[in-house]
Amino acid sequence: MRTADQLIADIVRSSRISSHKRRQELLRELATHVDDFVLLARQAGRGDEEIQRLLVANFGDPQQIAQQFAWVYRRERIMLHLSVFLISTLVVTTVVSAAVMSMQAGMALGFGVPLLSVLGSRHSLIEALDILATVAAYMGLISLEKLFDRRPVARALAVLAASSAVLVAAFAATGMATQFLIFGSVNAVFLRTVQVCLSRSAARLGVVFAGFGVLGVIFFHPPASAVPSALARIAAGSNDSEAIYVSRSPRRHPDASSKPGLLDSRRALPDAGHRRHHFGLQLDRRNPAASLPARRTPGPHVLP
Amino acid sequence: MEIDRELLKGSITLLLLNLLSRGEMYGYEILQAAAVRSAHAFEFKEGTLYPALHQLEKKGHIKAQWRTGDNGRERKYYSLTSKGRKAAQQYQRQWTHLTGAVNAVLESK
Repeated sequence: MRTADQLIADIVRSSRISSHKRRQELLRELATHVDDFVLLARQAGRGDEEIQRLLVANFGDPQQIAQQFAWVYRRERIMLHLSVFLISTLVVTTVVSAAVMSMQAGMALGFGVPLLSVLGSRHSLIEALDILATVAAYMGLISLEKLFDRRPVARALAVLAASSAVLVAAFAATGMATQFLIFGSVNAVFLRTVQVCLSRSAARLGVVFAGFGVLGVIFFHPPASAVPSALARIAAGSNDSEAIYVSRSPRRHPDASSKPGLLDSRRALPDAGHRRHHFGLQLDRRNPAASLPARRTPGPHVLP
Repeated sequence: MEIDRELLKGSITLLLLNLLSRGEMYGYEILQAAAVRSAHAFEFKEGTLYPALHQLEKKGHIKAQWRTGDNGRERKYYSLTSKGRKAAQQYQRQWTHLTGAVNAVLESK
């Protein structure tokens, strides 16, 4: 049989009141109610067991009472989740962006590319936006789930889909890039689905790496013809050094003929008398063997 | 007679504001007063009283204060605020109007 103490503890625990102080106060208030009830019942000559039974019966369904409290304190809860969402999004985005940028900076230094031209590029901005969108959507999903009592994951996904659609429509209407929003939402849904479906950390990591690996193979590998054709041009003898661009931006490279959103190789640009380093493969004419991919782009985007 | 929960739900606010307009009370005291004054017609589940009180407190209609009662025990006492007093009068007018209208329909031939 459930005791009065258990009943009160159940109510407070399930009430989802965000403030610890308020929960403690509610606990205290309900305990005084129980004390009053027990005192009067004892004065009426009832036994302890009967008192407990009557108390639980008179008090009502603890889940229902807890839901009523949850409704009363919903605004505080929403504000708390919103604050946690914003702060954690900011922190996680900063940390992940810093980690990615550090890796790129390390690679840039290793390949002798000027650091500023890598970190200060448009590509870095897009990467940061991708990370921000992914983290925001993921943290948003987690926060939304906490707002729903029933079917939290499904409802959170529905709200995320609706919010993303509204944001994409608004961004598109103002002529801003929308790809990073879609990229972030899809990433978040993928990561959360993996987290919900798989309980073991190793399995989660494996699926995430495999998932992104497959995406990388699908979207980001340059066509096999790109490098040999560039090598052939170099062998034919053009100026100083040439660069093969793997561009994502038709506006940035007007010669580009490929579909936007997909990486593609570009013909060698004749005016490339200096190293080109963004968005692409670099090929040093004097040392073709040492030519290395400057960077791989993280997502299928078109620059605005 | 047991009153339907949906019917009771709409009247709890008025009932609480009215009872507290007579003086400050703590939770258990409110329940007892409601039962006695309604000739035990209002014997709702005790747990449902507290969310209603907290809701009224959040709306600013009542305020709460922990203090030691006459018997030396500490309890949370609720009392009406000036906003709550106005709300109580308004609710009472609306209730009188509503019940009058409902009775008129029920008693019409």
